[in-house]
Amino acid sequence: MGDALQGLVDLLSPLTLLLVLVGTVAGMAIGAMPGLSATMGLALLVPFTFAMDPGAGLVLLGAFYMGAIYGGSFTAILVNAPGTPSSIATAFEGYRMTKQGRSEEAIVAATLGSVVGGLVGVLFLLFLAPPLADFSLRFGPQEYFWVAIFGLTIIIGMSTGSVLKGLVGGALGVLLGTVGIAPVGGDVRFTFGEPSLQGGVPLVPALIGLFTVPEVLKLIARRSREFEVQPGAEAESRHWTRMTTDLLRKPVNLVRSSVIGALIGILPGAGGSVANLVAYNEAKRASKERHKYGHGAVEGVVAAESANNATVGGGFIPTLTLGVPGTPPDAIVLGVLLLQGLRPGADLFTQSGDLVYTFAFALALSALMMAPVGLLAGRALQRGVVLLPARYLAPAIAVTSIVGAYAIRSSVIDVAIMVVLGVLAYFLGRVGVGVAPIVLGLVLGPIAERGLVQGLLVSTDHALPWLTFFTRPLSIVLILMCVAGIVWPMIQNRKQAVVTEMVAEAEKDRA
Amino acid sequence: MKNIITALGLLVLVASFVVQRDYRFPHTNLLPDASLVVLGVLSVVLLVQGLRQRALAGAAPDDAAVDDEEAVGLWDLGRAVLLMAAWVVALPRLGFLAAGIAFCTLISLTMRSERITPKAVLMDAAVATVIVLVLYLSFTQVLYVRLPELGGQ
Repeated sequence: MGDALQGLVDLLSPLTLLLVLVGTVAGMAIGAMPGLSATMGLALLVPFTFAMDPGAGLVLLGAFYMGAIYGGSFTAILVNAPGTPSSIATAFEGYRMTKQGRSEEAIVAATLGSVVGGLVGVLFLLFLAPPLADFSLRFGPQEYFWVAIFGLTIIIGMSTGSVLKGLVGGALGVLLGTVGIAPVGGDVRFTFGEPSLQGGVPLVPALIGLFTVPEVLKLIARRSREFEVQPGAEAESRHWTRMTTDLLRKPVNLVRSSVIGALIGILPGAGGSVANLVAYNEAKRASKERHKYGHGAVEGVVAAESANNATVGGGFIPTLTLGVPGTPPDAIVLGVLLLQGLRPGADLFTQSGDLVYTFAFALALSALMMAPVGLLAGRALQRGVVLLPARYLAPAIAVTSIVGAYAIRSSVIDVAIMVVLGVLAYFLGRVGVGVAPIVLGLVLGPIAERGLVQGLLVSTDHALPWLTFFTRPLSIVLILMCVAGIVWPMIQNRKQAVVTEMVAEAEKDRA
Repeated sequence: MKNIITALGLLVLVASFVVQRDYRFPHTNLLPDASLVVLGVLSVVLLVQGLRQRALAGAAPDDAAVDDEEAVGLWDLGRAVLLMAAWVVALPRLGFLAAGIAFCTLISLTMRSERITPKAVLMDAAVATVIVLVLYLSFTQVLYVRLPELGGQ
């Protein structure tokens, strides 16, 4: 309780409030740009947090993440181009509404959904994270090893198209994570004779390189964005307050979709890109007016947007308590925590509880700020960023990436590593090997190795030290979770097939 | 074909790691060796898959799908990679400001589809200067991060 109060007091400092506002607005701007994801924006933002306190840095990143997920809805609604994968379902109905001259209603619906979803996700974070963190106190090295392995099973769920290529990405990430001085023992490994690699593959340049550089290369090579602005909609007669009231008269869809989003957010590997489709599917299934779906159903926009913003708070539960990032943006925040010397788990909650609460409250405040910012300035902001010519956008992102990669160690080698990994990520992307599994491997590999080696070293008095990884009760639970982590995506794939069929049906109707 | 090239590239990468294996502390070989074996096996599976696809006439549908979505001309891609690489090479020599302004302008100009006029050059250089200056001042004056200076200082 004391930590919560302290967290609230910290949040109310002018600097923190300003950071929440700046993070939310900047996130919305990035999220609104097609091709620029929340992950990429977060990766670019990381260097700016170096000079900040850990709390201030996390607040900025959290607010940015929340704003970026919401910002993705603008382009989905207005130009049929989801700014982030989390807004795919928003485009199904939102763009249809724009074509019918109801873009403002769609924006209001997306804003309301995002605010409520964001708040529900934070409630989940506030009430579920502390008990889970207490539970993690019982964890030993063996359990941390299995937690990391559980995190790596996310790769199966993340793999779009080919599990084999997802696993290739994960193994590559783990291998890259072994470069440099070993976390236990101090062996220098795989440096190719380059002393600057003794510290390992630097996380921030790697993140910027893997997520941002391929997009920059594509922009420069194409000379334009993938999506161009289409003619806008006509003005509407209803005032936005009336639209909001109308939407609030149907709270079930709003709450159900938010809870779906928060729960999916907790499950590692799922995230907003899955949550918006599942919530949209459920909204359509439960609706008495199913025929309206695919023809501009405002409930579809509400469902998709409340679910994707709810995943933000939900996703931070495994990240902060177990160190298992559910989504790539969570992995970046985890990376910042580690860079700032904070280790996820019970210690984070006992020694830096106020920081965790400030972070959670900042997420809630960011969700609330989306309402005025989104309703009053959102459309103008969106149109501005979409109209920014690609020939200025590309060099702007490139120079920000370079300064970001350089800043952490003042090393040009880090910039070179960023570009090399970016080019590698581009080509791997061309063959279907995604970036997310590589990042997961890079982040979780060292955690797994530390648990593995420490677990074996502390069990030397056992006849078979290996057995301690399989006989401790918590380890057994985690092993079962790993099995579930492999089986669950298979079940999801079946559900996804149903959604895909539904989407095809909707597309057919639209045509 | 792409699967075959990727698999071969990954096998070369695995081999380059294998020749560097040199462990002194107990158990520090476990994860690296395990990941090398896993990546090696997965690469072989990818290679076999690629060869089988190649053997089947008209196959490789996944390659085609990725191609359609990501299609970028090789020449254009080469231009983009070359610009980025040259920027990194020039960074310690020209410094952040000069290299930034020069390469931002160059990228903007190469992205223009219409004829390049002196006005366009001036416009792109002005925008590049503003972008780079804002970042330079933010990092050096607000965040106290030292950035490379002209002449490698």
